[in-house]
Amino acid sequence: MDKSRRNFMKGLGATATSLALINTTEQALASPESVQKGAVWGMVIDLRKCIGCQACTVACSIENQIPIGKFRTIVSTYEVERSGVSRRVNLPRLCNHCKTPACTQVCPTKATTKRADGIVVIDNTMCIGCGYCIQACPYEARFINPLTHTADKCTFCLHRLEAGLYPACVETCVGEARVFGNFNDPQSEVSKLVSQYPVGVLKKAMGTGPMVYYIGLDESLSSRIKGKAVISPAGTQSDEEENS
Amino acid sequence: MDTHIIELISTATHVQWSVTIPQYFFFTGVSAAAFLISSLTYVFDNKTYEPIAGLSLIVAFTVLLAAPLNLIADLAQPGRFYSLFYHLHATSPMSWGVFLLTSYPILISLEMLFVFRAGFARRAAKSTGILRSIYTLVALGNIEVTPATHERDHRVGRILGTIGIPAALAVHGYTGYILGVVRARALWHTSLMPVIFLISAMVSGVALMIWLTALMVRDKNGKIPWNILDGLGILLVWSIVGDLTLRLLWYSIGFAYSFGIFQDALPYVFKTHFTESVVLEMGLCLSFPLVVSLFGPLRRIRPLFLFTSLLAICGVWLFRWDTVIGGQEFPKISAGLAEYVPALWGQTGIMEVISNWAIWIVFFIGLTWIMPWKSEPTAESDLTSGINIESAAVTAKGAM
Repeated sequence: MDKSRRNFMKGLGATATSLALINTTEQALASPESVQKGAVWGMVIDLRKCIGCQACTVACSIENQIPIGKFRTIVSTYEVERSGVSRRVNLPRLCNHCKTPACTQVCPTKATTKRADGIVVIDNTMCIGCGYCIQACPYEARFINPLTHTADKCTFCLHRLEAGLYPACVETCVGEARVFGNFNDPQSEVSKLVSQYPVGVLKKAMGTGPMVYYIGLDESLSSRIKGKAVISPAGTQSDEEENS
Repeated sequence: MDTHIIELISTATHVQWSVTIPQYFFFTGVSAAAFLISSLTYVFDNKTYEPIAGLSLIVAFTVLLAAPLNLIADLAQPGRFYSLFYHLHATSPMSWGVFLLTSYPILISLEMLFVFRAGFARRAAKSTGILRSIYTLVALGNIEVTPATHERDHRVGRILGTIGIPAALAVHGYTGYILGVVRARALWHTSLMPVIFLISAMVSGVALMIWLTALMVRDKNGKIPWNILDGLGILLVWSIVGDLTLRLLWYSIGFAYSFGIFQDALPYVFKTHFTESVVLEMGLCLSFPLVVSLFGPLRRIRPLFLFTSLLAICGVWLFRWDTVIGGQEFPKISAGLAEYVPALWGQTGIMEVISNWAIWIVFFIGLTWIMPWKSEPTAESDLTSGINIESAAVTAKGAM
């Protein structure tokens, strides 16, 4: 079904939007073989283009059958007020597939590992659900899946990559804010973006080397948020206010 | 420039490790401390604590039988716990625990076999039938109690006890290490964590031994051996002083010189959770027992001394709670704080913790019933035994 959809998209090819999408698809993910040729996958998220529509959140949840209340990706949304001027800021979050992941280091059974292509995966037949990786991840990117009773997180839609498709969140992104590709290829879109624009990563001080880069990242949002929490769709949180 | 942020949508911070984990950390700590108390006699030949050395060893063993059940209960896949044995990972402190939690009880078992061998041998000599066979078996097939066998048992017990000291330190130190390596958690990531855990474990272990001694050990007049309890009281003082000193180092360096995220976390300890962390834990449950145990006149108000010892046990449990649960309530990325109230029932509920205590009590009663931790006063034991309560009580020195 995915392949037919891709073919459909390829065939459609009439509008400028879909042409652009197909072009990048063909550059980075022309064939499943490209996955095995020294690729190092990563993502660049252009926050200037993110409109906070949560289409990526929904696409991910549908694609990966994520139980209600859990998210492999979500667009965190903030109201930021500076000098009396208020604005809405969106910050898509997902597993950062770090260069030196804290999660893989502490897993007692080696159920979570980093592949040669940079993708951090979990073997849910080996995971004992101890939650140590969840504690170690600085980005709150992991959770215990209530269906499998094992740790779960974003895989960059590995099953789609292996079929030559983009991750669901990338393919569905309305503003094309999410760009996915091979950082080992200097001609890839992601390599060009990180060389052309100043990019930031979340919680740089953790030293994990995230492979998800942000363009236009608000420094005050790159670490723990010092502010007030109003709505939490995934659980209970107090609304304690803290001084920023 | 003032920035005010309101978080509208985000991933929520969940408390992943439940109330069973503080219980696990508490019990491993008690085990380590009890083992060290037994080693005062079996390794360092301290006669003061001789009457409680065997009891301490049994405590060290039994709490360690009950403790790992908490870990298994907290797993999302508890049926897979056995895979920890064959999927080892050198960089994961949790994986080290597999070795420690298996080798350490085996080591204590071996030590118990030798330090209690004379007692088993005497029971074998007095028994008939299958009981005699069992006692002979655990007396290592030799029911003789002679100066030579005593010397051998003592020597082997000392060797095993000496090996056991670093093992005991490791079996609890590694739990602090589990937390200390998590740099994503501001309140856990300190090199002091294993040491803080060990010293606070001494507080709980000593305080628990004060209670168990008061409950189970009697001198030749049938009275509670207050001289031993006074000695334990002084150990309690040193342990609390060490605990508070390490806390002072941890908080002061963290607050004044550490990364911003730790400085953000400290108000959570001293402001948001002021009642639990400061008033109850450090005040009522540490400083108050410290004062009572330090000053002789106060310590000799025995009900007060026992009550404050109980408070010290509660305080260490509360510290485990504040560290494990509190550390998770402080979010890694989100605004606000996570909330956690343990369920009453269920795999990770309050009843699990109560059940775990009950399991330990059953183990403890069972082993103190089976093991000759207080040797019968016989002519032989007067000559040879190192665990004769009567002679030990007489020679016990009054503590400060």
